[in-house]
Amino acid sequence: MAVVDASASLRGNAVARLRIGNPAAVAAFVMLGTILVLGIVVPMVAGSGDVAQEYDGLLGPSLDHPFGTDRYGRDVFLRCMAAARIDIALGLTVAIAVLIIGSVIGAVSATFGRGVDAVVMRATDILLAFPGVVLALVITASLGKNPWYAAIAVIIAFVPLLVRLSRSKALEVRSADYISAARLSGANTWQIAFQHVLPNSFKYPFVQSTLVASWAILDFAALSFLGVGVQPPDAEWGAMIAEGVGDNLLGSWWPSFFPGLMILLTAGSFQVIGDWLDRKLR
Amino acid sequence: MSLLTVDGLSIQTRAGVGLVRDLSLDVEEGEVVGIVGESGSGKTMTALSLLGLLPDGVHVSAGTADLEGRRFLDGARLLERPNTTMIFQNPTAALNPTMRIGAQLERLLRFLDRAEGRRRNGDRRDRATGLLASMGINDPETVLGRYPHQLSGGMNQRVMIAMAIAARPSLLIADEPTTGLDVTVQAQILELIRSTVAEHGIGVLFVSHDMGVIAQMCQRVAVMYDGEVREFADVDDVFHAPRDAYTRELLAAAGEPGLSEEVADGTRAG
Repeated sequence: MAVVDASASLRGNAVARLRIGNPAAVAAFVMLGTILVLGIVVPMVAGSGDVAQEYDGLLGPSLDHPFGTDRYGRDVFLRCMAAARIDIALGLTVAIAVLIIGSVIGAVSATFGRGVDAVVMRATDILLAFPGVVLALVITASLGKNPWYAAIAVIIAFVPLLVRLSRSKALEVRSADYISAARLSGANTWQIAFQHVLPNSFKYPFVQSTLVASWAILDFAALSFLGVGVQPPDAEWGAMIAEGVGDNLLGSWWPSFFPGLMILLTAGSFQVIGDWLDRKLR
Repeated sequence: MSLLTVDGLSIQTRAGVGLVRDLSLDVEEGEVVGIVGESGSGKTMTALSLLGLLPDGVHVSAGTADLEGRRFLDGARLLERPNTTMIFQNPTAALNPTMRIGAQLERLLRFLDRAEGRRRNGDRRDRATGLLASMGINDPETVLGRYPHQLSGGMNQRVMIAMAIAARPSLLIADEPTTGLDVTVQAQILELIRSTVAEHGIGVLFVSHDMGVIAQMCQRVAVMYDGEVREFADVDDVFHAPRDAYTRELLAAAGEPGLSEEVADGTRAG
């Protein structure tokens, strides 16, 4: 009995699947990569330049200061890049944490079913009843003003979303014949949840997590804008917008415009990458 | 004494709709017993109920089942897991798509070793290779390295049978094991099941809607219709002298001999 030799064509297939082949996705990867590299390199070169008040206040964008300076005489470009490191790292950390926590809870909930599932679903109902930012704001406000607490709050706000998604896919997987076969061979429910249900339902939460990264950046910036995330003088896009708002009204648009642009480009890039992954993995 | 005895088995949905009513049958050691019937006749539900695998919202409402003289099913309660394995209708769906065949087989062997209190680790790969080779797979090493979607349905069914046999069950339940396969592969798989169970002396409950397959495989057959066993007798008797009107219709539909005139000219008896 000959084995159908499909591995060669499959390998070709895998390469084709990994090729980006989508101009928007290429642009998103380039954009995100550029911001990330600048976010790592620029602060290293500039030292503590992002908090040093060494220039005249509110200089417009120029060759010396591409994004201008803010009212305290800090270079907005340096601050934007210092903030990039924090914001992107935070977006990715939140996305990964939410992905792991959400998909595990979802798979376990669906596999156990009945009481466990009911409790988990009601808990997500409660969390989902609040808009994410409001929930995160309440959590941060009650824990204290600290970027770590803000990050934890954003994670808590997004976990229910992925639990729901992961569970709905896991319910489908749970009724597959190989789950019955595993049960027959004596596997217990935990083993089925982690070895069979989780790997087979992981794709959808994985795609969703790239979108979570973009939403997390938006929410984290919003928390900092409202004053409960990153604290001045540390640089963070949302906090920088908050600081620049007053100057904006008086005609100095750059201290708040450029951080806003960074948020737009970063969050937008994650969205485009998410769409691309979705189409690739479907 | 029979290997498997099922007595008065009834299966209901939560809403009280009867899916199977008062089903009794038995399987002798080394015997292949068929359950034949149209879709929705309750044959798969019967098979699943013996393994405790009924879907949510469906339960056994009455009846008992004994395997090797030990009662394992008493009404709604599954007293213990019977020493029974199952092969499924769609073998590709019955294997975890994210694991290589080798990993799945070795995981199963580790499970079985643990259940027997053995802790042999080194030779599982060899045993997996041996199992596949005994299923007539020429190139077991290659198959072990493949994912289920890279193999044909027939190959996956061989792997499934290998996994079902590895547990050394005393009863094997086969739920339409060849329905999705083309005719030549079907013949090979049927031959494989027949020779394997003969070699190991395993009883088989063979669920199918195909009278031809039943005739080839089984010694006795239960004909089911609408949740009831209409006839349970030797295959030869059922085919050549069917006592039940529905059996005659089923045979007529399958184009098999054994038609009564009533059915042949289109009028239904009973």
